[in-house]
Order: sequence, then structure tokens, then C-alpha cells
Amino acid sequence: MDNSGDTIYVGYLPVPKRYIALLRFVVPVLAGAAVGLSLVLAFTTRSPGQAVWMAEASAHAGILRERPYPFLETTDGPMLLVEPGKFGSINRFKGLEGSAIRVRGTLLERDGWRAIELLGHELINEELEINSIAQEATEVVAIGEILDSKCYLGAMKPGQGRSHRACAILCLRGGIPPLFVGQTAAGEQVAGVLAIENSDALPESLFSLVGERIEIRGPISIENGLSVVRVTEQEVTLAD
Amino acid sequence: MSNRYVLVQWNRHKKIYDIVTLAGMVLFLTVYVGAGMIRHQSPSEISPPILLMRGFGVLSIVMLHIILSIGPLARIDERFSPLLYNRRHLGVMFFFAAFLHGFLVVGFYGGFGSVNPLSAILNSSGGGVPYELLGFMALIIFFVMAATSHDFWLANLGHRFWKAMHMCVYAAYTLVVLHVAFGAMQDKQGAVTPALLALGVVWLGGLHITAGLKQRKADVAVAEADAGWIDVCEVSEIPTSRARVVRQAGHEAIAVVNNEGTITAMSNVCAHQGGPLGEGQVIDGCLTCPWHGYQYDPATGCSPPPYTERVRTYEIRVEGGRVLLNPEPRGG
Ligand code: HEM
Ligand code: FES
Repeated sequence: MDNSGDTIYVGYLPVPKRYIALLRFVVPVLAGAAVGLSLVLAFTTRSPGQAVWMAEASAHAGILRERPYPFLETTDGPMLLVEPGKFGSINRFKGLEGSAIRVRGTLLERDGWRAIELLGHELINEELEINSIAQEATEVVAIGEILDSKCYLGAMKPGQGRSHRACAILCLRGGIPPLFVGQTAAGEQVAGVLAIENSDALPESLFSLVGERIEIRGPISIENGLSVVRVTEQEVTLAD
Repeated sequence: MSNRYVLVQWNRHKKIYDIVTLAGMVLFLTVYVGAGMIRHQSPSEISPPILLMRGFGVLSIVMLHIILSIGPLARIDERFSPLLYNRRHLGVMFFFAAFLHGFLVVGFYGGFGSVNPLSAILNSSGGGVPYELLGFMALIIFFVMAATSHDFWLANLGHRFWKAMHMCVYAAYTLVVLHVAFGAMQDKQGAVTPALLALGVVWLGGLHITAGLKQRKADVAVAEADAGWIDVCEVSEIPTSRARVVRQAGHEAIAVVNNEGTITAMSNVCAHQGGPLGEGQVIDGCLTCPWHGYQYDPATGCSPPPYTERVRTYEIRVEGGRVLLNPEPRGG
């Protein structure tokens, strides 16, 4: 077989020179383009935001609050209580409203919000004096997103938006407290646990709005240190 | 060549091809994940499984563009045809990358919860466009294609069916574009993702159109001679050891071959995977397919022994230096 001029490429025969010349050019160009593309994508991806999930477990004492979702009222502020995996802790703490307890677990933290992934809890016999902040309800209209608190506070990064929607719905279905984070028309930040009237978790009818741009209207208040937005199902709508 | 069904018919070129492909995949993922980790560090790091999941997603869509570019590129410039030779392995490796992307999504976003991970992912769209479902449908198509890519299936499913099935790749490509446009792209700021996605669509569209135009130019403009015969061209217009293709509505494409001055004609469609025989070359007395090198005797349309492939042949007359073709195949 001659390797000259215009012989075509046949896989099981020696490769004619002009093909090799092109391949020597194309393969490095493709490799360079691949490297360039991955760099561009890595450097233009949006930051997931600052959130920390401590590797080491810690213990925290406080007063258990069952509503709107289980959280620990402490001198350091409120800590949402969640189970390992995509589950809330409603069942674990049924009937313990107002009890002094100590929980052990790993801390998740973002923008002053905290949650604990529970390893265990015990009732304690102490008089705890906690002077939590309380604030009367004010009406608020805001545009933002319904998030699952556990992922958003650091379990998954990023833990918001449409990419994360399926995961957020799964968390909320499992009873993880829903969080609303958004802004009023005046540009004021609004963040609060989203309490839905007559419901102890985010109702299924609102799953389709998770991870989307939504508008809420309702009273926002601080209860036992925890910022809570109270709405009915009808007061959560797609923003236009 | 023939269909002896070994799992994979390896040779040196295929090995090099596969090694280079794998090295490219590893390089891409390493740079993507590495750069992602350097760019976004604690406390704003991207979770490693998410970085890897995105990496496999981007790798898949890049590989899909390469795979879909090879065919038209080889038509536009035959020097790209070595990339075609082992495109099937590229396809299978692409499928594994896409599968790992989906697997990480289902495991990480769909796992650890109260419902089965796959249904957690596929039933999550609510009112919006179910972009996860679009990705899943594309993956199913790619799976069927990868699983049936072996010559065994080609022979058993029949040529037409196999080819039609492999045309589904364009449907799957559309699903993937929509998957990204209604999914990940909605979360990205800036114009990078939409611009890249549009660039990909325009690139592939442009390549296919260019290749189509070039092929039309190379084809013989058909002129009816007498009694159904076709006046193809001057003998001198078919280079030695090469062929020209005659396309006519309602007939299969026909390759008119010049074997050392002897003009013959046979089907343009290779019995292997339907490669364009007319773009091949006469090597050792046989017209050799440019895709995987199956060979056919230009006079009989038969592969040389021990192989048993065979394509239809056509009658040729040379009159006054012009090549005339009877478009009805020999033997009915
Ligand atoms: C079971 C099938 C699939 C599922 C469930 C799925 C799901 C997803 C999800 C949830 C994301 C968002 C990831 C994130 O940013 O966190 C995503 C992104 C993506 N997917 Fe898929 N996908 C599937 C199949 C495919 C296929 C077959 C392809 C391409 C061939 C593909 C290409 C992509 C690309 C390019 C991205 C964007 C990655 C980025 O830049 O962030 N996906 N997919
Ligand atoms: S199509 Fe494979 S050799 Fe012709």
C-alpha cells in the first residue's frame, strides 16, 4: 500500500501522512479547547454563598420549641433541629414543647441562621434563663425563594435554585423547615421560617413553587428568637 | 471484513483512539473540578459531588457535540475520517459519562429521603418545565443506541431500522439542549451558558448544512439519456481509483467507479453501517469504504473471500467517452 498523495484512510492500514498531520493539529486543539472551556465555566459559575457545616459535633442546651417547626431556643439565638438525611425532627420532639433539653449534633450556619443535624438529645433538669428577642408582627410583601433550610444553611452548596429543586422538595417533604429568603420592593432583606396556616410542614400544593421566584404576603414576626413569616397557602404565588 | 461477532474488534488504531479519548475525558474533568475547587473555596466552596455531577454533565454535552461533528467534518474534509473510524467507542464512552452525570444527580439530589430517588427527581417539576425528565429521556435514547451499537444488532435489526434508530440522536440532542436551557441555565448569571449553548447549536447546524451542500456539488447532476439510461459524465471526470455518486429520487444512491480505466457501478451504501462507498477508494482492486474499510469488488459488488458482504451492482455503457448508467440494479 503506498502512503503517497491521495490514499484514503483505512483503519486497518497504515495511516497516510496527510491524515496524521491533521490529527496532530486537531487533537491538541481539542484538548486546549477542553481546558479553556472548563476554566471559563469554573470561573463564571456563581458562588454558592458562605455557609458552613461543622465537621465536629457539639452540644447545645436550650428550650425546645415545637412550633412552627422544632427548634432550640438558646442564649445564642435559635437553632433549627433536623435529622440526618432529608428529614425533619417533628416526630422526635412531639409533646416536648417548653422542655429544657440538650442536643448533640453538627452545626450548620449561614447569615446568622443556624441548624443542628441531630446525633441525640436528652432532657435536662436545669432552670434556663433565656431572654430571646420577640417582635410584633408587621405585614410584609416580598419576592424571593422557598428553600429547604438544611441544604441552604450548608448541607449542599449550592442549595437553592432550579438545579436543586428536586432535592429541596424531597427535604421539605421529609419535614425539614422551609425558609423564605427574599426582598421587599424597597430592597429590604426578608428572611424567615415559612409557617403555613394549618400545616406542620410545607403542604404538597406548594411544592411546585419551590426553587422558583415567588411572592409572599403575610405577617413577619420574631417568636422566641426565631424569625417567622406566617402565610396561608394562597398567599404564596409565582412572581411575575 | 465480515461480521464475526467478537465483543470488540480491536486493532492498534482503535486502541490509540480509545486511550486518547479517555485521557481527554480525564483531563477535562480534572481541570473542571480542580478549577472549581480553586475558584470557590471554603466557606463558599461548591459541594464536591455537585462539582463532579456538573463536570460529567458538561463533559457529556461536549462529547455529544464532537460525536455529531465528526460525520459532516469527514464529508467536508476526508482527512477527518480517522475520527469516524471508531466513533462507536466514542459513543459508548459518552454514554457512560452522561450516565454518571444522571447517576450522581439521582443519588445526591434524589437520595437520603423518604421516597425512591429516581421518582424524587422525575416528579419534582410541579408547574415548570420538567427539565430532569428531558435529560432522562435523552439518556434512555443514548442507552438504547449504546447498547445496540454492536454489529450484531446491526445485522439482526436490519440496516434501515438501525439507521433510523441512530437518527434518534438528533431528537436526543434536542432534548439535551432543552434540558440545559430550562434547568441549569436558569440558575446561571450572565450570558456564558446561553452563548455556549447557542454556539453549539449553530456550529452543528452549520456543519451539517455545509456538508450537505458539498455533497450535492460532488454528486452528478442527472440527465436522462435514452430508454431510461442516465448520462453520468465524461470518463475523464472520474479520477482513477475513485468514484462519483449519482443520486436520483426514488432510487438508492449509486457509486460509479473508475478502476484503472474500467468503469463499473454499484450501490453507494455500504453493507456494514451504510457508509458512503462513493467517497471511498479502490485499494488492491476493491472499492474500500471510507468508514471502516469494508471492501467490494467493483465488478461483482462482492467482498473478497473469506468475507461474504455484497452490494447491488448496475450496468454501465461507455459511448463516445461518456459514461451511461442503467439505474435499475442487475438481477432485478
Ligand atoms: C437521568 C438523566 C438526567 C438527569 C436526572 C439530569 C439532571 C440534571 C440536573 C439536576 C442538573 C443541574 C445540576 C446542578 O447544576 O446542580 C443537570 C445539569 C446538566 N445536565 Fe443533566 N440530567 C440528566 C441527563 C443529562 C444528559 C443525558 C446530558 C447530556 C448529554 C445532560 C447534560 C447536562 C448539562 C450540560 C448540565 C449543566 C451542568 C452545569 O453547567 O451546571 N444531562 N442535569
Ligand atoms: S460502513 Fe463500516 S465499512 Fe462501510
